[in-house]
Parts: sequence; structure tokens; C-alpha cells
Amino acid sequence: MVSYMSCSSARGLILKDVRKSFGAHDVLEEMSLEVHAGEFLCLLGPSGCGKSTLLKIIAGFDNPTTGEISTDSGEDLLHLSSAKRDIAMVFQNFALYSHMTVRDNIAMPLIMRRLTWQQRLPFIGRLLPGARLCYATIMQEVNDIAGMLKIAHLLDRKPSQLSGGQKQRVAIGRALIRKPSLFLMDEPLSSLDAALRNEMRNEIAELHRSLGITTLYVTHDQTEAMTMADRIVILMNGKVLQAGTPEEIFNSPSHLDVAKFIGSPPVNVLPAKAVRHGIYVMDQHIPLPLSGEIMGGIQLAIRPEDIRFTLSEPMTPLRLTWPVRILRVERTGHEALVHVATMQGSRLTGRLSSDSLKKFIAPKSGLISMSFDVGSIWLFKESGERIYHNFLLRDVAIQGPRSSLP
Amino acid sequence: MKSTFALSKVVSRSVSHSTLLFMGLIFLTPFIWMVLVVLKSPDQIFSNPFGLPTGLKSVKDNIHTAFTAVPMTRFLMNGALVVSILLILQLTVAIPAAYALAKFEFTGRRMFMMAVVAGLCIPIQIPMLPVYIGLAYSGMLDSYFSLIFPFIISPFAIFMLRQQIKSFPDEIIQAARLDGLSESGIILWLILPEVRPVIAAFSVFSVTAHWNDLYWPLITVSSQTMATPPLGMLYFRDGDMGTNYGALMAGAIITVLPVMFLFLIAQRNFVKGISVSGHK
Amino acid sequence: MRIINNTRFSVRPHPGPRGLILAAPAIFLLGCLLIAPVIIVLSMSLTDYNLGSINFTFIGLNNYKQLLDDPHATHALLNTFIYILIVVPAAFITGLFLAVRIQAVFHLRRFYEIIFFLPATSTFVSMALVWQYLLHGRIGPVNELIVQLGFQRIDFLTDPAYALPTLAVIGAWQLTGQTTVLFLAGLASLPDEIYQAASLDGVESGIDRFCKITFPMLGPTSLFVLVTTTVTAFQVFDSVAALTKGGPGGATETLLYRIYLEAYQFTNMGYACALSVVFLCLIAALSVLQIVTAEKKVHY
Repeated sequence: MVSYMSCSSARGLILKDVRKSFGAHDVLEEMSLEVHAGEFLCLLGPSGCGKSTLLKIIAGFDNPTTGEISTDSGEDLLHLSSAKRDIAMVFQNFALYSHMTVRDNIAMPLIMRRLTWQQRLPFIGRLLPGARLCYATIMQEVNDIAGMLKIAHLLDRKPSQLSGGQKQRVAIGRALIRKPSLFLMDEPLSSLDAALRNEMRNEIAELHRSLGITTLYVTHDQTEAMTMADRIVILMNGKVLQAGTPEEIFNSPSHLDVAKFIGSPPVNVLPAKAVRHGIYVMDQHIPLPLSGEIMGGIQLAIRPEDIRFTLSEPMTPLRLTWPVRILRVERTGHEALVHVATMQGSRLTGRLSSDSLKKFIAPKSGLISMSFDVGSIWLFKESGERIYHNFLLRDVAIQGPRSSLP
Repeated sequence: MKSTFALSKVVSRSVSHSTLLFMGLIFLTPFIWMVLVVLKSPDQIFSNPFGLPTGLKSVKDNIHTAFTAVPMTRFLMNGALVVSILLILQLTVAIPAAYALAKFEFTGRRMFMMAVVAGLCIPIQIPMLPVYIGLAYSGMLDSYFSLIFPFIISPFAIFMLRQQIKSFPDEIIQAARLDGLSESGIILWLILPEVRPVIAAFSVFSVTAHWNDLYWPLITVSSQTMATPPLGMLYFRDGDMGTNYGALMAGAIITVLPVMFLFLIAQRNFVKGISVSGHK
Repeated sequence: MRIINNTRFSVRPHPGPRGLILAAPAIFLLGCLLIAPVIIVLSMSLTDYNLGSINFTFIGLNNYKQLLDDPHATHALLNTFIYILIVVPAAFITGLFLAVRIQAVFHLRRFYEIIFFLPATSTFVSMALVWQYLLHGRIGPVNELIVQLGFQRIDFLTDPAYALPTLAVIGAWQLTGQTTVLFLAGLASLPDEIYQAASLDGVESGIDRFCKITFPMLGPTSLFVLVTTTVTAFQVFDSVAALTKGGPGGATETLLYRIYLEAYQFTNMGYACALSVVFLCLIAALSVLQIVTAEKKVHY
């Protein structure tokens, strides 16, 4: 049953310089993107960043102001109507036909495509030659899909009688029954409660693994993106900030906004200054092999899990140490968040888990030493772009692969 | 780059607009004709129904006739007086009642509510019979009182206001009571501002319905001086100058204008009122 | 003193006579002007009371029996039903068509709403007089047009065969504004996403969209519109009183007009009450249906 659904015709998508503006305001700015055939691509970004607009344009509900969209075989999509683009979509609010049963909802795409309008007429349509066989085939396919999505027992119900999770499955069934070459999902899990979300996440990922349909998944939830996606595209204010695998995005953000968006609790950002042969941060000079083109104000980012606390520790060229004052410690059983303030007044949050947590004792004076490896810091220009330097690369070779994903 | 099916959208849009404008024109024909006729003189009307008016002189004559053949000013004044006094009385009775139904517990509350709902289902022409008899016996027919009295209670107003007041937070009212505000104070300073949109929608509805009403004035009024605009128009038509269509149209325009004006400025409220009640 | 059975300080409802005092004028007027009169009408329908007479006797259901034998009454009922059978479908279909077209050209919606709703708000008597002129047998423009097209003049309002349908057309003209506005409100509540999902499913042409999505989802609204329009149509009076006075020969006498004649012209109050009771039953049943369908207007 599963194999018959496998999509051998998985198709990729190429977007070139797509721009969408409403009046003077640009919702999408000259973005170019490539979706590989068969991959699960997540469009991740905060609300209002334009991701839903992009999806609407791809599906054909709206037109871009400029730009081209084509399949990876070169076929131009923009001159085709929505129905002809061979795209299926799952909406945030399900968009089920509330006046039809579940069975009719799922059957709808096939009925519209395989039957002529005469055969679709209410009562007499079924009596026409060939129609009965067609209907039977369609119903069989509906039963198969319903079985696969575990909603076979709901086929005669109406959408108003279903729970949120069940409605979403029906929506997925309606989308998949067409065996589309591209599958769009617009925040499909955001109207479900947390427990259901976890379950559906696994199911959707499983579906993709077994069917292999190219999927474009829009969400604002980084957990969903990080756990489900083959690749993630970070979209902010209508611009693509970074595109890469979850590991790449987590371990090497190319923009400060990306670093701030991914990771919980959010990354710590400190103002710093690029000087000759290094940087100056928190009243200390750190030697770094910067290219020297960048001088002046920059931003330094360090992840909470890369911060360590000790009672006192001498500073070495590899390990940087600052005295800090503990503001607050939040313990959540298996881990703790330590909020500290530096002598310069900056506030940082460090995250301790398992062994480092066991070794941690907050002193009565509240003064401890904070340290982090120079290889774990990220440097960004004032405009947000990442400043790369050799030290990091060398450091990876010394330190080994990154710690696990959140 | 525009796709071809976007172009077909433009085409279908213009087809829709042309259909709508054409039908709109048909719908507005009586209004257009009303204006055309009032601009013509009597012989123009009789000799050439399709001809266009030649000047503005006839308008003045027609309007003049309208105001002299019947006491048109009196009609208009009656209409204005009746609808405004009626509206004030309706609101004065309905607002405290709606407030009581929404926020209070008292014996007979459920029965009162059922009576209000029953009132929505009973056509007004039914209670008119005994009320007419009562007014006839007390000699109160053909008066402002008879024109206003039967409508003071409006189940529709009570119903709409109650819906709105129910959603007002109880805590604010309770706090006001603790602060020493009397119930009438609460109604004036807390409830009234809150139900302004409902009052607006209802006012528009009530004023239109009662300005346009023919049935009750026809029944209760017997002298020309007491007539409301619709009844006045019937007197006009049945009188000596009834075949002077130019003047008749002038009268029609004059009687229709106030409500039309109200409609144009309060259009949203009309729509809201219709969506809830469904009757004029 | 009432015992409040929540542990926390009960905010509502407020016990005591205050509610009663606030509602007292309304309760009194409701009783006086609505409840008591209805009871009086019901009981008076069982008597032979005439306005002005001193004595009257209780005659049981004789008024109702007379009603069944009275050609005027049965004719009035028939006319009313014919009127409704013409007006309601006409206003319903026209309103639905206009609403769908207006919704499709969204930005000029306000403008079209005004145009089509204007007849519904204008003083009907005055507009009826305009129609009287438009449809005049001798000098009316409509007849001029008909003659120029080569046909015979039609006496719209004085020909027994044409009078009632003519009133029905005028009634539909007026009611269409109401149905259009109601359907527009219903259409506005249909989520855009359903149409987007449908377009992906292959529902492209306007007819398909209407038959498969729009009309089925407008089900509850349609029911409400149907009932509401029927209630309004039932109460037709102004055009009859202004244009035909029930004629020619009773061809346009509707139920309400018959009641008006019996009660206020012929002063047969008892009989008029019997007619009113029939009228009341029909309308009350429809009004209850109206309230029920109003609740159901939202599909999900």
C-alpha cells in the first residue's frame, strides 16, 4: 500500500529573483532559491517575514511583481493556473469543505480531474458509461489513503465532527491522493496542541521518508524545522538570510539574526570592537587572525551552552575568562540557566546540563568566573553579516565536532 | 511577468462590472425617472414620455405645487416629530430593560425574556387591532399620541441591546457600585457608551421603518394635518392635483430624501440591522 | 436575603428588586401593547364584535367557518400565496446572483451595495407612485417602449391578469436589496482558503466554484434569506393600498389588505380577528424558523 504511493516523479523548483511588493513596500526582496527534487525544505522565519506570501506565489494564488519560477526541468510555472501546476497544499486552518464528508473531501481532487462535468452531475452523472468504474476506482484510492493516515473510521463524518489532528490528516489525505510532484505545507501544525504537534511531526517526517515527495514546509517554529528538514531556509523581512542543513545553520550562522533566531535560550550578544590583530570585548583584548579590513564596532555572539562557570580560572589564549556576578539561577531539573552580569553591565545567560551542573555551586558572594573557548564565538559586522576567521576553522580541528542539537 | 490566466481574470472582472452596472441602472430606473419627471412641465410629461427636460423652470413650479396642493411641510414635520420622539421613548424603555435582562436576576425574568422573543415573532399588525379599539373609545385617534404610542415597546431593540450588554464585563459594574454609582449612573456612564453602535444601528432602523410606515397612519389618521409623509403622498395623489405628475414626483422626492440621506451617511448601520433582523 | 452559593464573592447576577424596577416600564408596555392585545385578538376572534356595538356574543368558531366559505378571504389567501411564489424566488435568485458578482469585484462592493439597497430603504409609498407613473397605461414610459417595439399597450395595474404579477415585480425590486445584502454578508464569511484549496483541487471555472463550494456553503444563509424574505413578502400592503386598493375586482387583495378592510372599513372586528389569527399563525411559524436559521448561519 505504501509503495504504490511512492512518487517517482519528484520534482524540484527553481526560484529566480522573485520580488513581491505591495505598493512601495517590498514583502519579498529579489529572492532566489532552489528546492532539490525529493527534499524536505523548511522555510523558517518569524511572523510577517513573507514566507506565507512566497508559498501563495508558488501555489499560484498570487503573482510575483518580478521574477521567475520554474521546475528543475525548465518548465515555467507562472503561466500555469494553480490547478495545472501539479502542486498540493495543506493549510494552517485545514480549509476542508465543511459541507462534505471526509470521504468526499479526500476524493474531490480526483473527481475534479478524472471525471467530465457530465459525469460529475449529482445523480445522473454516475449512470453515464464509464463513470461507475471511475467512481469505484477513486473510492478505492480514498480508502487506501485513509487507511494509511489512520482515518478510515472517519470517512463518513463531516469536518465539524473531527478533532484538530483528525482534520489535519484529512487535509493531508486530500493533498496526497493526487500524487503531486510538489507538496506545500503552510504552518500545518500551529493550530494543534503541543502533544499532538509532536505526534504529527513524526508522522509527517515518516510520510516524507516513505513517499519521497518534494516538500516545502513553512513554519515559525525552529524545533519543527530543525527536526524535520533536510535543508532550512531562513527568511527574515523578505530576504533569504541563510540556506543550509540544520547542522550548518546551528553551528555556523551566516547572519546575526539567524544566530538570534535559532537556539533556546537565545544566543548571547555582546558589543565588541575590531582592532589590530584581534578584538576588544568586555575590557579585554583577544588576539584573533582577522583579515584587517574590518575595524571598529562589531557584534560578538556566544551560545549559552558554550559558557562555563568556575570559581576562578586563569585566562589562556584559548580559553577566555571574565569575572561576573550571578543575577539569578533557574533550575529545571536536568539543566539550569545561569543569568550573570559582567563588570561592564552586559547580561549573559549560560546553560548548564548534567555533569557541569553537578559540579556547579553558586558561591555566597555571587562572584564567579565565566569562560568560553575562543573557537566558540561568532563575530558579526554591525550590519549583521558574519565575519569569518581562520581561528574558528583551526579550532574545530582541535576541539572536534560540535555539541548536539537542541 | 503576467500569466495568461491573470489576463482572463481582468476580462471576467470587466464582464462582472458591466453586468452589475447594467442591472444597477435598471434598479435605479424609478429614481432616475423621478428626477427626470420633476424637471418637466405637465404638457411635456403628457406629450413626450421619453423626452429630456429643457430647463429648471418646471422644477420650481412642481415643488411649489407640491407644497401648496397639500400641507407638505406639515407632513414632513409630523414625520420628523413622530420618528424622533418615538426613537427617544423606545430607547428610554429598552435600555434599562435590556440592562436588567443582561445583568440582573429577578422573578419573572425568564418569562419576560420569552415575551420579548415572542414579540419578535408577532407581526405588529396583530396588536394594532385592540389598540385601535382602545384608542377609538378613548377618543385618542388621529393624534400624535396614537401615532407614537403603539410602538414605544420594541422587542427588537431590547433583544439587540441585551446581546451587546451581556458581553460587558461584570467586574466593572460591580466596581462602580462599590464606588457608589447608582444604577442610572451606571447606565449613563458605563453602558451607554458601550452600546453606541447598537443604538446607531437600531436608530437607523427605527427611523426608517416609522418614517416609511403606511399601515398604522392610514388606520389611525383621518385629518390631513395629522398625516405622515407616506399618507400625505396618498392624499396628494387622490386630491385635485393628483394627476400633476411633475408635482407628484416632487412630493415623492421630498418625502424620500430624508431617509435616503440617512441611508447614505449611515449605510453600514443599515446593513448591520438587516443582517440581524431581516425585516425592514 | 438570597444565599449566594459560590465561595468567592459573586459578581452576578445581582439579587434584589433592582432588575425588576429597571425592566418595569418595558414589562408593563409589553403586556399592554403586545401580550394583552394578542390575547384579546384570540378571544375576539370567537365573537361577533363590531366596532361601536354595545353588545356582542360569543359565537365560537363560527368566524373561522365563515372564513372558509368566504370567497374574499380565500381569494386573499390565494393571492398572497401567488404573490409570495413570484416575489420570493425572484428576490432570492437575483440577490444571490448579484451578491456573487459583487463579491467577485471586491473593491467596489460598497458602491454596489448602495445602489441595490436603495430601493429597500426608500419610502415605499412614494416609490409606488413613481411606479404608477412608469407603468401608466397611457402616458407611462414603459408602455411607450412596448409600443415602439411593436406590441400592444398593457394596463399593468388595471388589467386583472397583470395586476398581481406587476405588484410582485415591484415587490421583488424592493426586496432584492435585502437579499443581496444578506447574501453578501454570508459570502464574506466564507474563508478564502477554501477557494484556494479548491483551485488546487481542480475547481477552476466559476460555475464549478459556485456549485461545489459557494452554494453548498451558503446553505444556512440561504435558508435564513428564504424565511426572512417570505415573512416580509407576507406583509405586503403598501403597494396594494397605494396602487390598486385590492382591485381590479379583488385581483390584488392580499391577506393583510383584507384584514385592513374588514377591521377598519367594514368594522367587522370579530371576523377581522379571525383572519388575523390565521395571519399570525403563518407569520409566527415563519418567524420561529427565522430565529432558528439565524442561529445556524455559521456552518462550523
